[in-house]
Order: sequence, then C-alpha cells, then structure tokens
Amino acid sequence: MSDSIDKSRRGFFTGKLLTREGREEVKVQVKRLGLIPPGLRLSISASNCQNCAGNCEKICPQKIIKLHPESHDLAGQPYLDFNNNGCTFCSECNKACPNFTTDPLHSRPDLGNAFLDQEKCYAWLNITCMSCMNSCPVDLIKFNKKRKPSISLKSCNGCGFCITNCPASAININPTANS
Amino acid sequence: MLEVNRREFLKSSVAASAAATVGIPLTAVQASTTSEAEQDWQWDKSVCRFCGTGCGIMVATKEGRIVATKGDPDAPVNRGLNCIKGYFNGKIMYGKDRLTKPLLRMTDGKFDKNGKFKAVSWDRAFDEMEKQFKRHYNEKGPAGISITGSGQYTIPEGYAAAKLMKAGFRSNNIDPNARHCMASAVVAFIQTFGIDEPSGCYDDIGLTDTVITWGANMAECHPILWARVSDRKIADEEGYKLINLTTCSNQTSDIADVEIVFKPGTDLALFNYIGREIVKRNAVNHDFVDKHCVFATGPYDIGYGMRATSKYAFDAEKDIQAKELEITLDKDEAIAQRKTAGMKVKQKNTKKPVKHWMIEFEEFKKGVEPYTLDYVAELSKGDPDESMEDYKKKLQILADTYIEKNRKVVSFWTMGMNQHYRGSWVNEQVYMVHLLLGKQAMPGNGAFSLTGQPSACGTAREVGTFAHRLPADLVVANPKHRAFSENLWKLPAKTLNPKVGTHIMKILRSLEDGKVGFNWVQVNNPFQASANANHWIKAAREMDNFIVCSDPYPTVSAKVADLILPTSMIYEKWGLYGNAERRTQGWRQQVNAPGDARTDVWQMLEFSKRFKLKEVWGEKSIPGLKSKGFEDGKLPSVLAEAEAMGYSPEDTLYDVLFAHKENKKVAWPDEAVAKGHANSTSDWLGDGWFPEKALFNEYRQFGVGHAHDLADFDTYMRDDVRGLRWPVVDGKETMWRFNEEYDSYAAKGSGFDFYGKALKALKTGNLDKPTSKGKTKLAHKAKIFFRPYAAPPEQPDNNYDLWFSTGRVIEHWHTGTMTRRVPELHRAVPTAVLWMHPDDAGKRNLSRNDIVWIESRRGKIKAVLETQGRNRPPKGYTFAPFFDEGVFVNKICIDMTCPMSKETDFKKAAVKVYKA
Repeated sequence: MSDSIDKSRRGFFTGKLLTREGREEVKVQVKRLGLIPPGLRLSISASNCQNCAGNCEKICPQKIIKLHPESHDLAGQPYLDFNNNGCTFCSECNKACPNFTTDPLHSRPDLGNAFLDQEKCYAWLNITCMSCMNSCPVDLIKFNKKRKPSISLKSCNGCGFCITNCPASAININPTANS
Repeated sequence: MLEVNRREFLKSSVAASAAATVGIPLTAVQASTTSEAEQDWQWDKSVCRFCGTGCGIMVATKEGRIVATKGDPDAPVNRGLNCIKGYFNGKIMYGKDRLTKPLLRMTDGKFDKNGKFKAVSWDRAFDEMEKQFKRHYNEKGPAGISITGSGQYTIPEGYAAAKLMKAGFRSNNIDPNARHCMASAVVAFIQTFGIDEPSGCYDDIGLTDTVITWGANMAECHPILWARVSDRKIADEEGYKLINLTTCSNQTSDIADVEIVFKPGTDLALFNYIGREIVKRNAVNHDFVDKHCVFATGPYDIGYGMRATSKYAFDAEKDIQAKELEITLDKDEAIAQRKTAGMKVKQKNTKKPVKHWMIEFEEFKKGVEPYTLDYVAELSKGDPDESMEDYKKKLQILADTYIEKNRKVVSFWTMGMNQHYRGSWVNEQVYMVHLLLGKQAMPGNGAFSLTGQPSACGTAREVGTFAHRLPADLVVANPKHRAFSENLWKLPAKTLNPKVGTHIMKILRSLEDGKVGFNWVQVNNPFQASANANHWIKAAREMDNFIVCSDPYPTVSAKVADLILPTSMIYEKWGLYGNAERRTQGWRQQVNAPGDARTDVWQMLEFSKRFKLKEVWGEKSIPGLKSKGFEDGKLPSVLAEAEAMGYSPEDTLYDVLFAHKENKKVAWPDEAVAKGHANSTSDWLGDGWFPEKALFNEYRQFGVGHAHDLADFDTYMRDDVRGLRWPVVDGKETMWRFNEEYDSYAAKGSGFDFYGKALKALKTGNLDKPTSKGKTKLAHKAKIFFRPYAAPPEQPDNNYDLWFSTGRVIEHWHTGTMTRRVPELHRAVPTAVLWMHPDDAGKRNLSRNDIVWIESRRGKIKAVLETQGRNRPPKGYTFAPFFDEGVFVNKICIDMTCPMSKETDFKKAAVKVYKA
C-alpha cells in the first residue's frame, strides 16, 4: 500500500498520471468517495454497476448522487455528495435501480449520524459562527450558552443537510452498521 | 421534490454575483499554528472591514498578497476574537469578478447611456465624467449634482469627499448610506445632549449588571460585543440580567432572562409605560434631573418622510402615501396622543419636524399618564400565542429592572429603533428613561447606541459627510459654523452653501423627478440598499442623468451606472475608521490593488484637478436658498475675494483644497510611519505628499479644543496603539463623557455636565405648543423628551396580511458585495430566505423550502421559505435579510423615513406571501 502511494506521488510529480498508461498503472483511489445512497447497500456491486446507465444519479431530485469516476477502484458505483444538498430519503434511487435488492436491515431511512469535529468547527475555535443552525430539517443542532454547537444524535438519520452549509467543512456522517 | 427547486433556485439566484475565490491561501487557520511556512509572513495591525464594533484584525502578507488574518489579541474591543465575517477579512479582495478597469457604457466608441460597458483608460473615464458633470452642474447648479457616500468611507476619504463637494463645488448634496443606518440616533443625540455620539463605551458591558436590548439582534449583528455580554452572563448567571425586546424571537433571546416580543412600532408606547412607572413609583432621581436636565416635547403631525405627491407613485402605493398629508387617528393612537379616535389630522409640521420646546415636569407627567400597563400591554403584545397575563408580568419586570435603585443598566439598540418612522423619538425615549433615573454617563450605566457601519461614527458623523453637516458637529445652516470652516479651509467668506442639501432618499427621488442629473456612488450600493428600489433603478436607467459608481465589484449600483471606476479595497490603502465607542483606529496599506483599481482618495483628488476656481466659485443659482446675508436663490461669486487671498481663477480645486502648501509639507515617503509599507495614492499622484495623513491632520483641527479632539495621524499608526476614544486630551482618551470624573470637558464641581452646544436655547410651552415668545438658555443640560406613540402608516390588512422586516444575518455584510465573494460565507448562507411562523406557512399551504412570492404595494420578489432555525417570528410576522441581490428585498420595502432624521424604516412593510 505504502509502495503504491509513493509510486503515485512519484507518478504525479513526473506527470505520469496525466497519461493513460499512468492512470492504468496506478490505482490511485480505492477509498469510497461518499456514503452509499440509502437502501442501495445490497443493490450495488462492481459487476452490476459497471454497465448501468447511472439511473440513480440521473433521477436523484436532490442531485446528490454522484458516480465514482473511471479512474477509481469503484468506478461507476454511486455515492452521496452533500456539498450542495442533503438527502430527503425519497427512494427515487431505489426505484430507478435495475438491480434493486430489498435490504432487510434497512427498515427505516437512515444513513448514519452526523459528527461535528470540534477541532475544525469555527464556533469551537472561538469564531462566532451559527451557520449550521438552520440546516437540520428536524432541528437537532443546538447551541450552548457559550455559542458552541452540538448535534443531538438521538434521531439523526445522516441526511447531510448540515454538511451543506458548514463553512468549515467540520461535519461528517458516520455511517451506521446497516447503511 | 421541493428540495430540488430550492437548490436550483439558490444556484440561479447567485450565479450573477457570487463567484468563488479559488486558490486563495488559507486565512487564520494557518495563523493559529506556527509553521515554517509562516516565517516570511509580515504581520501588521489593522481593523475589520465590516460592522461598527470595530474589531482589531492582524493581517499577514507575503509577496504582495494577504495570506492570513486573525483577531488581534491586543485589541481591547475584541481581545483576539473574530466573528465569522471578520475571520474572512483576508478573502474579500480576491473575488473572481474583481473590477480592474474603468468601464463606460459605449456604442461605436462613444458614450451611450444604452450602450454596453467597455473597458476604458482612466483618462477617458475622467474625460466623460468631467463632461457629464459640467453639463449637469452648469445647467442645474450645485444642487443638480450629488455624491452618495457611506459609513464605510475611511476618514480621509469622507473628508476629501465632503471638502470637494462643500468647499469646491459648493454643493451640500452629499449624503451617506449611514443615513439609512443611524441618522435617528444622531438626531436624538443632538436634541438630547447637544452633541453627537455615546457617552459611554464598551467597558460598560463588563461594569453593568443589566443589559437591555431594544431592536438589536446583537447575537448576529454585533456578535463580538454579544460574546462579551454572554461571557459576563455565564460568569454571573443570577446577578447579570438580560432582557431582549424584539419584534421577532432571535438568537439574542437565547440567553436572555426575559424576552419581550412586541408589535412593530409599539416600542414608543413601551418606553412611555416605563416613564410612567418611574413617575408613579416616585423613582425619578430628582437630584440628577433637577440639576442636569430639562423636559421637552415637539409636534406630532410631522408626516412619515414619504413623497408629498402621488405623481410618481405606483397605483398600489397611493393609499399609504396619502398619509403623508393627512391621517385618521386609530383608537390606540388617540389614547396615546390624548385625542379622539377617528379624528383627521393634517400633517402640518412635515417641513419642521425637528422643532421642540421646553415643558414643565407636570406636563411630562400628563404626557405619560395614558400609558398604563393595561393599555400598553393590549397595544404592544407581539406574539398572539402569548397570554396577556404572562406578557404583563414581563413588562412589570422590565420596569422593575430599570427602576431598581442600585442596579446598573445599559440599554443597547440598533436598527430596530433607528430604522423607524419615529426613529428619532424612540431614540430620545431611551434617554428619557435613563436620565429620569440618573443612570447615564457613568461606568456601567447608560443608553448606548450601537452602530452598523465601521466608520458611521468616525467618518459619516464626525467628518460630516451628510447634507447638513460640516466636520465636528458643525452644520451648514449655522453662519458661525460656516465662517469657522471657511477660515480653517482658507476659503473666501460665503463660499459655503447655507442651504441644507438633499438626503440620500431624496437624492434617489431627485433622480426620478430630474432635479439631480449627476450622482457619484462611493463605498456603497444605494440601488440595492435603498427601499422601494424599483423606482430608483428605473430612474437611473431611463432619466437623463449620469451615474458614476466607484466599486471593487459589479454590484447592482455598478450595473445601473453609466461609468464604473474600479476601486481599491480596505487593505489596499491607508485608512482610519471610528467605531461606535468613539474609538479612532488606523491601518497601513498592506497590499497593492489589482489592475487599474485605484483608491477613492486618488479618484477624488484626480477628478478635482479638472476644475478651475472660475468654474465653481462664480455666482451660482441655488433654487430655494433663503439665508441671512445671501440674495435669495443665489450663492455669490467669491472669485474677487479669492484673488485677494492669493488664489488665481485658474487654480484648480486640487491646488486649493488638497495639495495646498501646508499639505504638501506632509511628505511621502514617510518611513517613520510607513515602515516599509507602500502608499499607492501618493505614487499615482506622484507629487511627493502623503494625502491620507495630510487630510487627517487637517481635519483634526476642527475638533481640537471643541470636545471632538483626535490625536494626530502618527499616533493612530503606532504599533502600541489600538485606537483611542475621543476626546483625546493631552494624549488621554475619554471613557465616559459628560462625567466630571472622566471627561476633562465637564466643568469641575458639576458632577455631570451635558456641555454639547447645539439647540441649547428653547421656547417654553405646554404639551401641545410653545407659549413663550423668547427662548430660555439651557446650557450644560440634557433634555428629557415626551414623545407619544404614533401608529405605523402601513400595517397588515386583509390584502397584505403580514408584517415584513429586513435586516442582516451574521454571515453577510449589508448588500453582500464582499462577503458573497468569500466561498465559505457563500456556502454557509448562499441566499436570503424568508422566515415565517410554521402555522402561517401551514395556513397558506406552504412548507419549509417552498419558493414563495413576497408581494407588497411596491413590488414582488421570490424567496425560499424557512420556518425554523435562528429566527422564530411570531404569527403574522416575516423577515428576510437584504444581502442577496437575487432576493431583492428592497423592491418590497417602503421608502418612508423618520421625518426628523430622514432615516428609512426598513422594518415595517405589509406583505402577502404565496406559492411561486
């Protein structure tokens, strides 16, 4: 693994990655770029997603489903990008998936829990910020008297709307076991 | 499905204006950890570009670029803290659409009002500007030209603009957007104390035991001061009391002990309820009041600052506009003004709304008598879901808290009270309460007017970039003040125009009716920031006029202009600002401006070279001028006297007003102050002087010895000085004015001395009118005003059934010109939303994130609906901020003003909201 990273860095600095050979030689990206859209855990795999027309990406009303790029180990598989929007759990992606397989564990819409990184959050760094305050559809973000936010996880379903507005990119979704 | 609409909408609404600033080096994140990369950063002290708090900012530069900013730990205002806007000061200058060339509307190489913007040279830009200026100036006289300035002018900029207009062009048509921001506060300061600006300072936050906020969402709009308040609250939960009075539940309520949600406009009644309680409970501090105060009142029939003619009105707005001439008193107003409901009242005092006279304490008591708890509670309760009993209890707590004998109280307010159809009255009422109790001008006690803009105090007010003002609280209408200024400016007598010029709202109206043909927009965005905008945009584009906009970015005002001048931003020039606590702070130029962008000071000085004395100091027609010593309607020629003073008619305004002998002695380079920093203004002028320093030091002579003493330029630039609160006497700043113990201007042995000189001789009379012939002097005293409740002229009705108010959010500054270019801030709040009570939304079949129309008598706009989060309006009330040109809030706001201050009321329009 460390070898391949070194190789990729060398490749990058020598301009190798810019050539087709370079891209094929170095499998740079193996880490998933985002969460799997809700309900699709059992439906997607390397084989069935490769040849799909990307229906889920096209149909997503929120435009938050993206496909891993060609150079990626998971090329063609969908992931959620919360930079511009969050998930409403509308299941349009499930309906659009040609390989849809019902997930018995997915009994309720749930992607995970929002996690606020206090080392990145401006408010926790003593910069007065309240930009996440409006974002949660179910109002789970609370500020204490010292103007520091925290996210109540009890009913958080990881929809990602809080990520969209955070100027510090301090919020992530920690996936739950069944997503 | 609704969500996608929202996102699409967000994108389309911002595409025009908000570009991402990609590739800018990180800001303060890096500053908080030291690393090798930082070793060649140059750090220097500076000031935040945004609000009137006046936080100190440390700026780091490297290779001609700002690489980091951080809150200045040595700045007493913010002690190293930053709000989210202040944190991104370093990024505001690097938006992708920064303007770097003058742009002129042209067709086939010639200026054409309907042409497209083409890049031109500065010479070509000034040629056209000169030609158009002179066309309108020669045709309409000094009253036909105008400058719309700002509380964001640096002190040298505002001073250059005011001097160029008033001494050079002999026009008083210069007015700042600060008119929209704190003019009501100024009227109240002048009428109450005879001198502008607060008696106290921010230290009061730490010294008091009570903070009461009125129409001030400090948590979002003055976040660093609020941090100081909330730190005190956390340290002393029981003892330190907070009461938030507001028309919409907001973040400031969150740590308050009591939140009072009142109906728009009824703050006038709430103050009189407190006043009545003070009287009834025998809590008047007679020692203080008898020695230091008098009582006063004025007429009620002063109109609402709207146009008196319906000639230009849209059909739908005519019914409200007619109230400028006559109103019918409603039930509550009748009680408040001791009259009968249904009575028709002609607005007879619209021309002289500021007149006032002294009354006896007994008359004052009669005035506040109708304001009982029952009456005021019925009138003012703003949340239909709150029980009357609970609300009454809160009002009693409010009165108890103010009155409690040994409790120190600070009242803070901002736009809720200033942007008010009776803004000057309600400002005077807060002093009424504090003065009656003797809780003013002492550590931890006092009414403190917060300011919106970084130099609304330091420049707009102190320098006097208003239509009626000269520096240091002098006014153009006063012959002694004009003579003093003419002497200091070395002008022939009668150069200065005694007729008050047009205020900013009237400048826009004058573009519409053709009285003003030339307007130069400086450091502001009036075509987005002024209420009832549809009128002014149309006037700018369709009337025969020439509009110049100095701007770093293509704002709404730039886009409606005929000529755009690319302009340097804060750290690309030398400057000084003055904040709300009278603290003057300076900074050096840190980096150079991009492309051909140039400083405002350079633009004005360079333009002044194009005017010879013979063109501006000859006889001038001023329609409506009536002043002792002047022929009606005329300014005399002062050329002969100018020659006697040694000027030639061929001298330019540059020679006479700016680069005169004294100023030329202030040399550039000036290494002792500059310490390696550049000065682009000096370099471009190329004649070896230091304009910012020379202009500041010339300006400060107005205030020295007149209770407006500033230190000299070099002092403010010193590395060990983080601003000083004026008056600065013998190098010592003043924390509490009018208090003998702290203010060297207060007479020894007086205890307190309200020494302000303005309006200190009054007739005497009763509540209704003055009855004496002669005037009584009241030197060294403050006035306690009785001002009644008056109903807002536009209120929700069956058709427009909701209140609408606009204001700010923490992430964005005013019209978003700067903050919307910072990717992080744009990400945080990409567009303005409309806050509404969820039940009001439900009643209209609307849900959160729907796109809705907001429609008033003046126009309609679309916005995304929000029913939760930081603002929680009561039923019947809506709010949307005005930073977003894609959600053009000022198209629906009403252009009524406080008739005394001419400050617009952005807070009380009636609208309807429905699905788009």
